Amino acid sequence: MLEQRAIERPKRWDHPLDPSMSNADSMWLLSQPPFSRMDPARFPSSTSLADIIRNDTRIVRYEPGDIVVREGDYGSSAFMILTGEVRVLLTGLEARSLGRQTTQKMTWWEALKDSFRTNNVPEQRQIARVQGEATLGTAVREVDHRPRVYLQDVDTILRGFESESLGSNEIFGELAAMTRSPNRFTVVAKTPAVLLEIRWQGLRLLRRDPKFKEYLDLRYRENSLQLHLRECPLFQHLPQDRLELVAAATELVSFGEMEWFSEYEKARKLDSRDQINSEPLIAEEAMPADHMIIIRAGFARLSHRQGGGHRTLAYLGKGQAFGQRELAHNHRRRGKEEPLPYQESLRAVGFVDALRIPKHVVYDMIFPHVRSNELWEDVKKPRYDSTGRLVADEIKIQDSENNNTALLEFLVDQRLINGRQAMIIDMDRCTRCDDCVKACATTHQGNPRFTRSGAQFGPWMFAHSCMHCEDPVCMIGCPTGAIARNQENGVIAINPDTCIGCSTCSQSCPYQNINMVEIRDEVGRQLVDSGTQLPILQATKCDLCQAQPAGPACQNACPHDALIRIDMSDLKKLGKWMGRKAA
Amino acid sequence: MMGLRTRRIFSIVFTSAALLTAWEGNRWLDDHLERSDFYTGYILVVAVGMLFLLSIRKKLLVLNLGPVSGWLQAHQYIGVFALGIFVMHCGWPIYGIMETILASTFLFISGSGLITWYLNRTIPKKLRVAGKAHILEETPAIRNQLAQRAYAVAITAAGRAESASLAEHYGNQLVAFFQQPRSLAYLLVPTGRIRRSHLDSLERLDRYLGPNGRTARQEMSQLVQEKDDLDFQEAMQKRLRIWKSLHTTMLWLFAILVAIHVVLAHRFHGA
Repeated sequence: MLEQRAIERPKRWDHPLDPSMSNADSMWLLSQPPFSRMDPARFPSSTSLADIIRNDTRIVRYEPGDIVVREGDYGSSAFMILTGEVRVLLTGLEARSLGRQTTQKMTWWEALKDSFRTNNVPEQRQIARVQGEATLGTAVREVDHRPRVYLQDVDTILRGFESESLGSNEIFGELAAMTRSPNRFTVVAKTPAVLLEIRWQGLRLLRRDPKFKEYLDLRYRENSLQLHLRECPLFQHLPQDRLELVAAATELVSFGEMEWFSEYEKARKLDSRDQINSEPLIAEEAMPADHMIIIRAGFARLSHRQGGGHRTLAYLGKGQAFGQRELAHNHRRRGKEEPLPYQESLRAVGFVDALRIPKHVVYDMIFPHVRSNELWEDVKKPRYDSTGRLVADEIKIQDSENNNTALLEFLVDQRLINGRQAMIIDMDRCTRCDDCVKACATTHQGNPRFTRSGAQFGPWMFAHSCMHCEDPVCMIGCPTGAIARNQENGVIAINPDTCIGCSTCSQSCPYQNINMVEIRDEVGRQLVDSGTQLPILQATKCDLCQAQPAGPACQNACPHDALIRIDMSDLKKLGKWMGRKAA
Repeated sequence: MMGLRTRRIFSIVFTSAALLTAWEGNRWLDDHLERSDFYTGYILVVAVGMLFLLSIRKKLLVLNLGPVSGWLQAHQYIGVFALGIFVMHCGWPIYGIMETILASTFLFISGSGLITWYLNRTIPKKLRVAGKAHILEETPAIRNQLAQRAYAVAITAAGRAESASLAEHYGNQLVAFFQQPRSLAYLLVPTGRIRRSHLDSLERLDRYLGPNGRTARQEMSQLVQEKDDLDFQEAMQKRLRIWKSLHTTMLWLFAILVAIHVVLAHRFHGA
């Protein structure tokens, strides 16, 4: 038998945000507000306040013009100003000024010329563009060994845009970091500034301090909560004064790991029963229905106990509510009737950020303003378990629309529900002619941006092509903001002018749909780092042919109607496509 | 967008109507003692020209001219229409060397088109049930990996007395199977005969193997199955690609022959 080898158990802070953060730095920070006002006794010894500051924060210096956070980027850190001044741009900067690619649709003629241009050199780039010289208004520079996108003429830009000044001890970016939502504003350093970056893990721990939690919650309630509630159809007709009361009573809760993608590979290999059991429970079937839950970010699995396991009925995404059906039933029940418990379980698939509204608020504030024809029907046949307790009824929600449970479970287990433009290939029709790959190469200067392989369920292959996800984890941590979502069409694209080849996006993508490639100059010479002589890499992925006038070439090129780009949240369309009859 | 079934019904009705109209026209010209061979000949020239539209569409993917699948379906029905016109045009028997070459080429194109159409419909399902989906260009690399895995199993088996028979069998019977692509005969008619033969002979080895040896034998059987699946996928994909290439090449050849035929027909039509 092999011998055992004792090693030190991996610890929470084996990888601090900034290994160079010293004790002196953390002690000084502890003496500054808001940390000086926090009660260290609120934090357990395993995650003491000093440890949080030492491991989950870092002090970052910014030069005037440096972009601290970009509008539309998915945040993973909050920032507190230690010294200096930053400006929050209240009106949006042009995408180009933010270091993003501006996508203009090609004309027919341009597209035609481009498709006939023969290019025998793979991954060719113009050196001027790789070095950022071609981008106007913005550039990349190194500050303290970190790449930083900066506005070249910050004063002129700030003069032309409405902005708000933030100074010492003010915090920003916390909402985007806590809820993993896009930043609503761009923040630029106005003067030389020193900021404390707090990663979301630390921010969560700091919420143990009641005052700090109250402060963050207050900011969320003031700035965003009512807006988020209004997005839910249930609240559309609610008078403003009632909405404010609902907002005041709403609890903000998060489940699961925000960086779920790091554990995804392990989780998908688990047995499906273990996989469901490993998902954090948001609400449990057969437990008293005392809240309505609205998903704010992420996905939740709606399941129903069946035999020794769980049967997936549907998944809920942003803006969808849970528990309202039971509450509506209970609200109308007669005196002696037993209240109905939750009929299904709700579990976080990855990370879920939710709003929890107590039942008395739902009864008193919301239901009176919901039209009777919009209210849910009573649960017709509630079932009871052996102890006489009500258990879940056989409810079919999305399942009724031609999607069998096994497929639904596959989509949830593989997290394919995240896709907004997933590529599905019907392998019963696909002749493996590769016309889709050739078409992709034709529209990308000879470089195909996907591989005709991937997870398969029955005859359907979910190919390795960027799905332009609802929750684009690839966008977290891009140091230059080169990977971004196009606000107009939802496409997530990489700007080759600002991509520095750090691989963060490629490593974060749980579906392996982003590739790092070695790039070449105009004449085909491989580009290498002048210092290390190592090849210069850039991230590449499907851009959904957003510049092409005819849309995705892969789908257009399939001669057998075997390939589709589809929004995985549109289960009706998915079911229709999968259930179509052969011609 | 038109559904698949609607598209098929529409195409059948449209093609039948076009053929009927052409046939009526042909009959009318015959009845009036006009040159119906020029009439059907030019319809055929136009139809052959339209058959090239699919290739052109494939080159112009960036233009928003509808999905290629629609063009392929149109190509198939135009092909059926052209076959009907061809029968009207040629009649029977066919005289002359040029005419015989033209007719043979056209019949080959029609036949290869029908075969490709049939293969397009049947091969995907066969491929799906034949193990993991492989990309044709990756076949040599996957074959190499399988050969290495089989070699590793054999080497491990050779190290133990209880499984030496497996290593010996591998050396005598399986090395070529794993390391080489299959014969041309297999590409033409892929069968499971060799796979079954290898699996049977491997199973018969069990009596000479200990527990570890039997586990290794099962692993080797699994690899035989995987290699056979890979060969089958390669044969099927190559078969389809070969037919498609032949079909396309012959269409180009036919277009050249048609051009010559038209010139000759005009030059000598009074003779």
